[in-house]
Amino acid sequence: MPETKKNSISKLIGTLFGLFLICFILVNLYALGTFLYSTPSVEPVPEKGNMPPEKFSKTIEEPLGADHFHILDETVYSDVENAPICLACHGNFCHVKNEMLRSFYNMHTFFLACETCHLRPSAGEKLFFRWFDDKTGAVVEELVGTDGNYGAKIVPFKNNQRLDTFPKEALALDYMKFKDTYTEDEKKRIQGELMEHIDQEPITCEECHCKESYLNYADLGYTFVRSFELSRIEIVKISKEYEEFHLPTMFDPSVVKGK
Amino acid sequence: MLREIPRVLPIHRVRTLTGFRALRYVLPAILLFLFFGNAEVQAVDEENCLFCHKYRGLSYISNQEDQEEPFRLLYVTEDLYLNSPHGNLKCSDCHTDIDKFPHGEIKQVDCLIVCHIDEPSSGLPFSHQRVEEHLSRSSHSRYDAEGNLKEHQDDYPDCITCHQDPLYRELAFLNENMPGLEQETIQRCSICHEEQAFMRKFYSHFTSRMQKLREPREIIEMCGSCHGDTEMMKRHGLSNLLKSYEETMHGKSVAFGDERSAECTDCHVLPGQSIHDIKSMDDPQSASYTDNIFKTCSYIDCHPDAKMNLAGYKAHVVLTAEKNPIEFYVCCFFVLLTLGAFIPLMIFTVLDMARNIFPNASLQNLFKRS
Repeated sequence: MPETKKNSISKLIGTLFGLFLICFILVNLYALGTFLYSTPSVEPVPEKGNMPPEKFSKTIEEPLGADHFHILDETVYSDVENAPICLACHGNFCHVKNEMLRSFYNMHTFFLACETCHLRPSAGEKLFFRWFDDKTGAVVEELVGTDGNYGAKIVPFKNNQRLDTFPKEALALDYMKFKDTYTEDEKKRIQGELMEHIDQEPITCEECHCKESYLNYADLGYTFVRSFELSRIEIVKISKEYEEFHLPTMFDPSVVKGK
Repeated sequence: MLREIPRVLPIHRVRTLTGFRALRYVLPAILLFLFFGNAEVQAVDEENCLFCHKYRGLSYISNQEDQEEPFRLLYVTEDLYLNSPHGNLKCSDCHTDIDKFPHGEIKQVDCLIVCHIDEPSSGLPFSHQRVEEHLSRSSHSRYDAEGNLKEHQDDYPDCITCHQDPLYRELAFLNENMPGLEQETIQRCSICHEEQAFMRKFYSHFTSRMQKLREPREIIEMCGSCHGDTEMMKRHGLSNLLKSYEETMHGKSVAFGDERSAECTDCHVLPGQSIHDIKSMDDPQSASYTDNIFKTCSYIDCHPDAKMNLAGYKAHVVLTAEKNPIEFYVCCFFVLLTLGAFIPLMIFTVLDMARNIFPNASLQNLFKRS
């Protein structure tokens, strides 16, 4: 190999090595600069744009001093990514009006599709109910989890068709987008149109929590004991029969222990 | 099948003992007992509040727009609650005004009430009143020395501003070297004591108190929720001290996860003082008072060999020309020095490289050609 060619190759290698060295120094200087002159955030705060809207999800990973004393284990609501269109408008703590029972209604939204209560079958019509996975939408044969936190919901279906699909989704999305520009009359008209398929009288607490329950708990996979319990939830009776139910002190452990 | 807590109704036993007639009277009582005194969770939730409060969705958003706290999360995680120092208390020990269903408007819990439990060393009823006494003497009290409410009183912390129900923390630093420590210790306790739950609770309480209940990063986050709020600090004539702390070596090592680096409470509480006694740096009793800084820094766990001149070191300086002009201008000088030396050097190096790659390149020729 001629001497000049050899020289130019070694020069090139030297130059490339020098460039690499410069890059290496720059990266290190950048890291050092970041370390020295930036303030590392103790807890990175997610950008607001990436946060789910508040009405959708109330995270329990609240910052310290967030006024919630009891430490909770996980995000309260988990199917934000795949939430039904109803919740986009109403939020997942959607029951507001009935001050006495709204918390209980909201509790049920974690394991019942909206249509389970808000669709009433017409006379002679028979609806079926199954558990469907919140994320995949697949039928769930075996539930994992406890206390209603299964990542799945009971959904009504008929003729192998899930009934929790919103019939006028495009209109609903349009409404949410432009609702501030509508007059009150227009709002009422569109709301009426959107809610056409929803029954004015939802399935009541007593219709499910009674002996002849609207839902067949055994078919849904509940154990015999649990089915029995769900068929006689006392709290429904208390809420319906008493305006105020005073907790009996005869079962108060302090009283029992003579304190 | 669903995984539910099995609860067996003891109906057959009632029949055997009392007969069918008596069952008509006894059964409602049993059902009530199952509701209010659920056997499965009785040991931990005697009042059976978790009958409802174990459900994650048990919450509401108030429809009254003027409500200070429109979202009410009513869910409690049983396991975490039990693993907290309050885990042996009944709900009604703190939520004292709940006696009916629906509960209606309930008062905020008063942490200073006298509990039903007895303080074991004195046998007297337990209360957090002493903590309040410390806090009332500190700079975090919303009352001044004359007992008058300070300006911007809402900015001052109350118990839950800083405290969630803490969880017992494992002795991580010992467990690394002594795996199985907890089991072995409890095993030794069980030679004399009987109840596993008691032993575990006692062990957790004691070992948690051998270390801070929170990681340094959490403490910085907690204090920073106020002291990192520039607007709030301005209202009180202070600066954003979180920012200046994070720029220190202590702040940076804590941010990178160091457990042993100093966080707020290490330097702002004198050895032997209550953590609730933090005082203004102008107060001679303050850990950050000029005459006390040496004592604070040379604490045995931190810099025991430190010399007196360490007291002259300003721990986290707010770098502004108004507050600390010398430090501010020294910092500016070093930044300029670094950049002034580095930028020309880099330009020179890059140009030299370019010449090596293109030895015959000439801008003059390039312009001439064009």
